[in-house]
Amino acid sequence: MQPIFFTGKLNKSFRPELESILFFNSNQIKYFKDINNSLEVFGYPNIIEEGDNLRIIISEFSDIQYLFALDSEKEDATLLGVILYFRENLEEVCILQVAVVNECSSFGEFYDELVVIRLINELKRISKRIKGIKFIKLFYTGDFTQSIKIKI
Amino acid sequence: MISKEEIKNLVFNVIEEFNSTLSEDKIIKLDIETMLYGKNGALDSLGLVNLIVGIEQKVEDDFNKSISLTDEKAMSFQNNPFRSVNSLIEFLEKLLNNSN
Repeated sequence: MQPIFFTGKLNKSFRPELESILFFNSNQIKYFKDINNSLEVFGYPNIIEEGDNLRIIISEFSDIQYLFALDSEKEDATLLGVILYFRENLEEVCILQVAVVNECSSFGEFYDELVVIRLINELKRISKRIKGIKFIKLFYTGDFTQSIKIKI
Repeated sequence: MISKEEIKNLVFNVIEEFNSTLSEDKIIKLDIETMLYGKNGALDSLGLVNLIVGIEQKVEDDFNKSISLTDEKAMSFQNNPFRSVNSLIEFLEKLLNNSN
């Protein structure tokens, strides 16, 4: 597997790629209902520029956090995916949305890179450092009726 | 030492549990040759996350061992261990019998 670089900051030059992953992502069609539920509860994400970087905001929801996956640390890196999350309560971090480029999806050319799994794993690593957090919860689960709760 | 047969039964049990929550057209065939993730795979990324969580939990319940299928070690494998039921069983066998 190729190395992946994770960061919470994304230069504004990545705006078209981020918009494409978040808003025009054909992978997410099957999760349409779940995503819609999430939007109804939490609001619609917006991408805004803050200095040289991009920031994702969701309506009035101030606690949203995010993590980006890139194929390198260089300026010409490719954005591979993004995960949006927040701390739901003392014990749980909740994933609102996880999205990757088509090429890294389960049917894409680079499915073997397991970008979704690695994004969640990075969130697990980060969450381990936060006092009290015991689980990561996935807000939407696609085909599965039971929610996904990942032990830290 | 946990045998390959025990691990196969564990994986099949988890898949059976999942199948009970899936619609008929999404059922995962209980066969070691079944492709799980990737080309012709039965699962998408979130399905795979679900399966991994289920297996980690079942390993803890049945074998009293705490494992992570997605840590750096797993990700450092040259081949994707989640490609098929068989590769997953082999990966689990390595992980379980090498852990303390």
